[in-house]
Amino acid sequence: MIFGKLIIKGSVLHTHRDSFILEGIKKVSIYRPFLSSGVMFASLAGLFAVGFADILYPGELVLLGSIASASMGFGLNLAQLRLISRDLGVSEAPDAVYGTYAHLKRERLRISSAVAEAKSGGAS
Amino acid sequence: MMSIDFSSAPFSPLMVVVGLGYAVFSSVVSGPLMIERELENAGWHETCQSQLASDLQATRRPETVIPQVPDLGGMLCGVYPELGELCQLIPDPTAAARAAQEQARALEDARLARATSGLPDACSCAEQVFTEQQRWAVALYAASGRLLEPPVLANRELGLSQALRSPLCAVEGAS
Repeated sequence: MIFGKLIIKGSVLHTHRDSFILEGIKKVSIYRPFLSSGVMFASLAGLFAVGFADILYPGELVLLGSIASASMGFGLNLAQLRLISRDLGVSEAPDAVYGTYAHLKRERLRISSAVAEAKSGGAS
Repeated sequence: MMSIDFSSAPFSPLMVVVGLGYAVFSSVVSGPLMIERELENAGWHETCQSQLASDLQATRRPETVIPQVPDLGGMLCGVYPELGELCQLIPDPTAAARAAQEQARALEDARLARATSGLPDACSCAEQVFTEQQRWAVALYAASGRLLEPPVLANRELGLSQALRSPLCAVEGAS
């Protein structure tokens, strides 16, 4: 799942906001911007639930467990695409394309192949 | 104005927001709630009310001592019932004092009953005042999931009884 748009047409990568000439892209990476905060939130919820388990109602324990799992899942799965341009450094693109980590990982391979292709095509 | 570069910080701004939110939540919601449940489990309310009730009983004003004066009229009628009319003419010297004593006892009972009815409120008030006064200790205790227990919470009975004696939680009619 991707929030936004990521289309490769020829040697150009189109997001819903910008278009990038693939030849200029030096590095394609994905990272999880909410991993640290998600893990932190999950840990705090877990710590609270474990610490006060004896005086929490079962419903509250389930709620805390769900919150911890959801925030951990959110932190692990939500990722952002980062394109590093030769000319611009870290481009604007990372702010544009969010998605699940697995999907963006597949997109990363596709984009990097397209970049390599564009570069080899440009060199020849 | 120089902008802060969060990308080089060892933590993300979102982590700071999560941390602050958790601290505020612990201080306002979870901390007071956990303390309330712990006190409920420990039976503090019952202890508080029985302690206050015995304190109240100790404030009962002593009754005035009525001098032992014989009721001559009553004694006479007891022995000679036929002198009933004469007996009526001899007043009981302690009757007024006994009536006053009864009235004072009724007033005192009413005062204690009124004060006793306010005991649950006083105990809840003490709990609230204590939690308010120790807001950050309570927040730290809740946020750490009992890992950190500030001394003021370890000796919470002391703090609670101090709060109970504060003017804010004074029992109406206790004195």
